[in-house]
Amino acid sequence: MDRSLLSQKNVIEASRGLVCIRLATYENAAEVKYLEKIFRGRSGQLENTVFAMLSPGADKYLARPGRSPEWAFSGAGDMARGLKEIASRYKSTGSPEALPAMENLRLALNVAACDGMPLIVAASNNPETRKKADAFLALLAWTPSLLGKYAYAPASTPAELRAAKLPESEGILLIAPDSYGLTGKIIERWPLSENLSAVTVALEKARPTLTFSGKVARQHIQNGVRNGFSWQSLLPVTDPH
Amino acid sequence: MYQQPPGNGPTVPTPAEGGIVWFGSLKAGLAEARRTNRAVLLLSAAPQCHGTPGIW
Repeated sequence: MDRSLLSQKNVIEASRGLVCIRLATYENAAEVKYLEKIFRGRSGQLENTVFAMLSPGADKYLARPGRSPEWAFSGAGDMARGLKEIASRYKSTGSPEALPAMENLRLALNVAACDGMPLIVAASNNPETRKKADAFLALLAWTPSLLGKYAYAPASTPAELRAAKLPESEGILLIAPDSYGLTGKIIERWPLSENLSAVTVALEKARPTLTFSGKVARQHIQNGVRNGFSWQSLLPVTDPH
Repeated sequence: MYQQPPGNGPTVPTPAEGGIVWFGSLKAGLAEARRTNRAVLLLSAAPQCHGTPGIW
């Protein structure tokens, strides 16, 4: 599939009327079971990628499920039209409010590197503070001027930062992931008590300055192997390709 | 993100103007879909290629 399909402006705009979920395959046992029910490849096993359009209650397919959106749509224009038509079938009862984050910091760093986008995470040793920080980040994530501009990780402990080779500290952190998503560079840090509008303004200003290059897979993999940058999924990779 | 084996063309970084907002957890995403009565675009992809992270 065209790697740029999901980066097309019309597809992105059409996605705003839906809830969009993108899982990391082979990283969560319950999710693997769910995905296996949607699509298995010729080998009978779960492959690297899965695609489905689901009703709000996830009890009905709204387009042909398969390995990628190309199983249902012929290109970006067709996909954008299809997403809008599907969204129009349901009367929305509200806007998304929860934090759109990966399951943990380790995955979030990797996925942010895959997507070529900066990552925001709050860190604290206090569980109650982490809970409040997640709510704060959720407000940022759904602020219209910041929609889809940053990736998010769930609030983490300083020890989790250390595990990602990041400085162990508390606060709200803006991170540029390294090319392999195994660590990153802290671009900005705010205290956990910072007010929402100050962080919003700073993020609006920062995003245009944070640029990421496209990666050529073969070069990226060769360099990764040479330097020992490897990824071990939590579950066995069953894709035969 | 879907080419196997790795394609020759470069990947496309998320536009600075904003990309799709993704929930990275099935449980959280489906709960939000039910709460808002919105249809779901579901994708899954392995964030590694031949054991190398940082690329779909």
